[in-house]
Amino acid sequence: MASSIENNNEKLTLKSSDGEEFLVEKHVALQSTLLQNMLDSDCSSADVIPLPKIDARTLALVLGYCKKHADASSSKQGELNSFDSEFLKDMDMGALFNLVLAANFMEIKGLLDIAAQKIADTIKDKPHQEVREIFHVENDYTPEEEAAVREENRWAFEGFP
Amino acid sequence: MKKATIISDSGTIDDHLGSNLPPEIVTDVLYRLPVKSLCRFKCVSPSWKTLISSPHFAQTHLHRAEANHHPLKAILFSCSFDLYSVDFADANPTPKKLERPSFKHMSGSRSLSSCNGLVLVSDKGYVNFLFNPSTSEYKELPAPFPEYSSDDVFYSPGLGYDSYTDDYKVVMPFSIEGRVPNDAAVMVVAVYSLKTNAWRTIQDFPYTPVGCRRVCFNERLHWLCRRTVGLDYSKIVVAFNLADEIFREVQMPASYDHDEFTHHDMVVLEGCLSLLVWSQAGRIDVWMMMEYGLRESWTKFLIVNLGSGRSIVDVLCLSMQDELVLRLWEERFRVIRGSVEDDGERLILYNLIKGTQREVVVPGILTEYVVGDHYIETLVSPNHGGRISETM
Repeated sequence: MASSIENNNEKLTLKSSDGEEFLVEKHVALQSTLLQNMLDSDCSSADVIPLPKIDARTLALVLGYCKKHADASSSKQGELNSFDSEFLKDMDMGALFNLVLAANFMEIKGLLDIAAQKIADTIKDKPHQEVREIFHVENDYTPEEEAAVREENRWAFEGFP
Repeated sequence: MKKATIISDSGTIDDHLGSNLPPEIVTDVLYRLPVKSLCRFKCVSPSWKTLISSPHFAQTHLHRAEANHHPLKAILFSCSFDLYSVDFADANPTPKKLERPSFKHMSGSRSLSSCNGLVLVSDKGYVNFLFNPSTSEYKELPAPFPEYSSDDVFYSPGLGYDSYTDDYKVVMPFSIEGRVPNDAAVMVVAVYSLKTNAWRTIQDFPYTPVGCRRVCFNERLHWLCRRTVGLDYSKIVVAFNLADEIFREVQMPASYDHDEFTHHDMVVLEGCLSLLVWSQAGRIDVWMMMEYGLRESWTKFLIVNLGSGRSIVDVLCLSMQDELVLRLWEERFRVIRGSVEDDGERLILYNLIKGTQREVVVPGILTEYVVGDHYIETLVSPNHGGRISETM
């Protein structure tokens, strides 16, 4: 098995947290440093690589990104940039968070970068109360403390409730 | 998978940045936000405030902003000693008044010097504030000398950052009439360190600064000067190394125009120390030092031609890494129209790479706003006193 992965047409099977299996070409899988390291260190003898933290919907998106970037490799940066922005365009925050977690786990730097940037662009103009909910942050401030921090940064709240 | 952790100022591992993303991802997202959003998000929770307020966060945020070529903002110092910020990326750039420190002397000799998002705001070199226009934080520096005399001559101080000592330094050539023991024409140099919050006097300075911009680049502060020793009055760039505190001359281009009647300015364009040279005609020569310190690498990169009938007053600042904000004067408008609404002042954004120019209207740009500089929006605080490395 280990020797057969030398073949470029070799395919891997990835299994999502909800049990769905994805057949992936090796050169597409190599977009992920995690999978690359597994292949390099001969861990590939298993027929199926389980990805217990990534659901099927997210994994399908991730593999779509990897396929585009693997196939286009280095040729058309402009085309890839427009693919990237279209790819994330109407994605809701929940899907974006799943995507960023998957990219982080699978170590896909480019995807992690664009997903984190998309999250930043989306929250940039939101009120802090909404950001708190988006990130599930527990508010440890007393109302008085929060008011004091707000007062210190009064200028940043122009136009915010 | 290695798990990165966020070390907060208190040295504890901070897992409270949110329960649905690991802290290293939350931090990575926050590094990408503008200063205004970050200041607002200090209200999300005490953990977010601790993270965003830490000098280490400010430093990484700064490096990210520099690497991603964030647009520059302009800061203007007005006749009435007010400070304004302008975003030239706006369709109609409008000076926005900043909450500013109060000035006691108001001598009329204002200067600005910017580095890492901090701006040194000076009144005749005697009253100095370190000001972050993005957060409105400021710190008044101690007076360089115990007594102030109107005869003292200070030259525009420069602000620089020394990564070796992790310290911000203010460097100011000066001559004090009657108080300097020997030749009054020879200037000495005072250096202020933010870490020690004190001034020291260092070596002689046998030059006279021309123009008022100081450029911090490559860990050195640069002045465009005229020599004042002997009969050699040629222009020269003098670089102050912020680490060893020694001045060294930067060789000028071999065919540089030293004419008394030309104007000069110095900026960093596209990562190169650059000289701008112009006379009254609407043309600027742009020299770029492609390899720092190498005289042969000076290249006359291009000639900006703005057309006849336009006098270049000065280069106000940069609006991007490759875009000059030029103050012009068009005499014909004043003569023909002669109205208050159009007094001939022009502001042109000239993009050096694209070769395009765009006119923007900022009323009073010649008469009200005396000096300008550009800055990058950062969280760097003048009150941290360079404590960045201690938290890393």
